[in-house]
Amino acid sequence: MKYVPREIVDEVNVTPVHPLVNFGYLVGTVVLATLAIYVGLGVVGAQLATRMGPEAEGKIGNVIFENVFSSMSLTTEGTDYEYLETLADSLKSDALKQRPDLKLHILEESAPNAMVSAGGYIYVTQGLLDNVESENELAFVLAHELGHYEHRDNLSSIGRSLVLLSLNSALSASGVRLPSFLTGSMGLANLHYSRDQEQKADVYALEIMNARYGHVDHTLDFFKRLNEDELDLGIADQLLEWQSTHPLTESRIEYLEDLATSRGWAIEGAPTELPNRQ
Amino acid sequence: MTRSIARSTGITLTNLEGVPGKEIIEHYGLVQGSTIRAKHVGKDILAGFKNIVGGELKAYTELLQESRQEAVNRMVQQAEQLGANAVVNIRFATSSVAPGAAELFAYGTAVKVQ
Amino acid sequence: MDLLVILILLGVGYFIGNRRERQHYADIKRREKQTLHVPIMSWGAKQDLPYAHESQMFVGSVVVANDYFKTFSAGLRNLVGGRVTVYETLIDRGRREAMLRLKESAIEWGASQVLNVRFETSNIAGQSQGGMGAVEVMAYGTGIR
Repeated sequence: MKYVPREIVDEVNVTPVHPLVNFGYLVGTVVLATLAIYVGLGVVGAQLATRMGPEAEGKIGNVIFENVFSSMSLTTEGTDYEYLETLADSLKSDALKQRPDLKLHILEESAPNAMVSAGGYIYVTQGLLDNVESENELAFVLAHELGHYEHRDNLSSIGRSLVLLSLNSALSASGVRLPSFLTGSMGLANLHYSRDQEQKADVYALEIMNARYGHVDHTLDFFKRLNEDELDLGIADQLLEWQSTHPLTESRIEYLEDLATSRGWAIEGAPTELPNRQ
Repeated sequence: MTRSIARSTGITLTNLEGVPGKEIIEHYGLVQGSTIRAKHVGKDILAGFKNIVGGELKAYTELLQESRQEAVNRMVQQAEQLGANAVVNIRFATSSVAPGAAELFAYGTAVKVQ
Repeated sequence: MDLLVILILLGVGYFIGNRRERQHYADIKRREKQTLHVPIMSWGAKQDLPYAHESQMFVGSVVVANDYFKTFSAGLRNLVGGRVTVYETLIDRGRREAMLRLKESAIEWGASQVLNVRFETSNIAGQSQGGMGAVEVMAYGTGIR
């Protein structure tokens, strides 16, 4: 047998694709698939949130209360509390009367804040009560939270975070970690969503203010005063990120003032005093 | 630098079924040598850096060569005990038995040739 | 911040890793041409070799490591599925390098052919959770002269 030295020229064991092209394809596919899944499941979550009956909503609210808030120091009595409850109930729209009753709690926190959770749980911090100077201000904050409640923002935000959580845990169970930049872009999509919701809740609250007092003066004073402070009027489970998920207070005020002018609502009026407190 | 593994022994090593040019007159059965080696932490850290830019890990190449040489030497010792002067049909196997540790294994048939 | 580190590592991994790969391939091709005159084959264990007077066994081995870019691409590929092209070149390089080392040491000894060549590939787990941190490829065979 004779040996004929011949060279193998073609690379058959290596796929002739540029590594960057390959990389781009991979990143694109993964991002697109993740987005598709995220959006798809988000839609499912939103559908769930809008179709949820008052009973199921109440149950979810109880679970959240047990897990998140029951360990905090809460007050459900006293003159402040009774006043707050009457005020909140008087702000309820017809649609809200079909939903679980409001369950008001005062949180012993010094930072001014208010939030709403599924099932009609509304939390107001002591700091907020100490900070407001007229009923208009307090009523606006409460109406804003009721707006979130009526629009079911809290429910849809839970549906979305449930989707996120299940996605992450499903992937980690198969031993694959999502690259961190993917989870980052998920957060951004979420941010946009909740800014939209914030604005709707603001408009909802301002409409109620106009109907109740005949003008929208003083309702925004609270925001103006705390413009530079950290202020949250958000949803409970986004407490950690609220600084980024809430629109800048300044642009929020400007938007509302423009809206009041364009709708011809009175922007001058006398404030309704708060009842005497200890 | 020769990579012959038959380092200064009188024993012929081959992975053929016989020793070319010689006739097998006796055979003594299977001989084997194995060793388990772990890499040390310093090398591991260096290798971690290397994992960013890729390429050959010379330290590991040498470490494994050394270990394999040891496995072969042990196999040769067995063959010497049996009075063989060649080991034919040698095979190698490598398996990682624990994180960071690998077993190097060599086996063959000890024979006596003319 | 995390993202920045990942991007820098990706860039470093890609540029340096890719340049090394091209250099390595050029080197491999040059050496393959140089050693082409000595036949290397996977048979020869059972044949009579009347022209052989002496024989000796040779081993060529190499440990090749991933670069960060390859690791990252392969991680994404794990989600999508399909051909992991970045690892194809890595293994191919390792196998050819190991064979060249085997061949070169046999030629140095004066071999006229290398017979019964076998390959062995094993995963050398990196410092973290196993996977493909580095791969050892070895080739062994018997040279005759």
